[in-house]
Amino acid sequence: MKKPTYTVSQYIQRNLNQFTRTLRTGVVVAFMFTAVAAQSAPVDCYQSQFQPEHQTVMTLPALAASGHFEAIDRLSALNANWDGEEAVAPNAMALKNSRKLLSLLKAEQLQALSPADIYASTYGSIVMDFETRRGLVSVEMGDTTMGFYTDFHDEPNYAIEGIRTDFDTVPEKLQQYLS
Amino acid sequence: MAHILIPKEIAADEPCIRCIKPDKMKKTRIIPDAMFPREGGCDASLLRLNYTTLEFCIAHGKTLDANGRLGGLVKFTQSLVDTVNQWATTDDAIVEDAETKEKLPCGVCAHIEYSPMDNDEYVDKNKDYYTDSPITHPMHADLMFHEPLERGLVRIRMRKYANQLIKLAHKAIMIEQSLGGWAV
Repeated sequence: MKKPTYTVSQYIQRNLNQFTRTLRTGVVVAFMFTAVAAQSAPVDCYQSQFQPEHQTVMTLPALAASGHFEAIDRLSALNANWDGEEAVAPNAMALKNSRKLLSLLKAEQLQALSPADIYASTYGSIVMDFETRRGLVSVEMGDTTMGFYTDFHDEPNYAIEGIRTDFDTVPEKLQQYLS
Repeated sequence: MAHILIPKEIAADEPCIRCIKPDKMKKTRIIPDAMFPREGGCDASLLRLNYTTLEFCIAHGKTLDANGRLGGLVKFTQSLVDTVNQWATTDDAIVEDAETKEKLPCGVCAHIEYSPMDNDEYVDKNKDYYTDSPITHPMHADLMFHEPLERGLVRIRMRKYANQLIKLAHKAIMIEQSLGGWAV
């Protein structure tokens, strides 16, 4: 079969048409992709706001607003002899560990903790008393370990100490008794 | 106050008072820290009620607070302390050790000991003191824990013990400027 022959201008015109077709197809594909993405994007945003695990975790700004971090900040400003009876200043690591725990707790768990119930012991630890529906869960945070005891209304109590403070999630036992 | 010799032995049913500062109360709840000794120590101050008055206890309690306020009073006996000592050896008082997984009763123990004071100094308790002796606190005693409150340690065992003692003791809360009624 004989190949068609083109003049230079015909050759340019042919390739231009081919380029335009390719470009048009690309635009259509890009438009379709954008449309699909635009359709799916709002769905993702909606879901991320209302998935249960996101619904219950407080963001740091919200936590700060609820007063818990401010309570820790107030404790960090205490000097030695803050009680007039030779109390030691709160331990810096205990304060840091307390902040970490607060940032890991769920909103409903934080609701059981009044900022006024976060306080310093006279020997450097930080105490957080949760008033849950079941009763008291009193958490004590030290520099390398923590512990807690319960004082429930109608169920057996539990106490533990020596939990390492290098946790990345709420310690399992505490999670269990704060729920 | 009449001229009465203060016995060196504290009877099992003799009422003793612990003054509670406002910062050791959360609403009407007295926190375990209210019963603790100072850091590094074993002794928590008490007043022997049979050899002083409630008015003196209230006034003394107010002097402990920088703002001159009193949260309330806790009243208990050596007999109650013995009860809590016993409780501390039972399964109700178990504290788990997260490292070893051992579950042992908290085992904290305390007793009440006569310890007369003049201002902030202990005086020779082998001497005889009377209710009107010329020292500030001839009726002073201590709740002596058998282990010190050490810096930096988490003391769940002691918290559990003190919480139980407070629960079983009689408490009277200051309402405005007056002491409310005693309640368990």
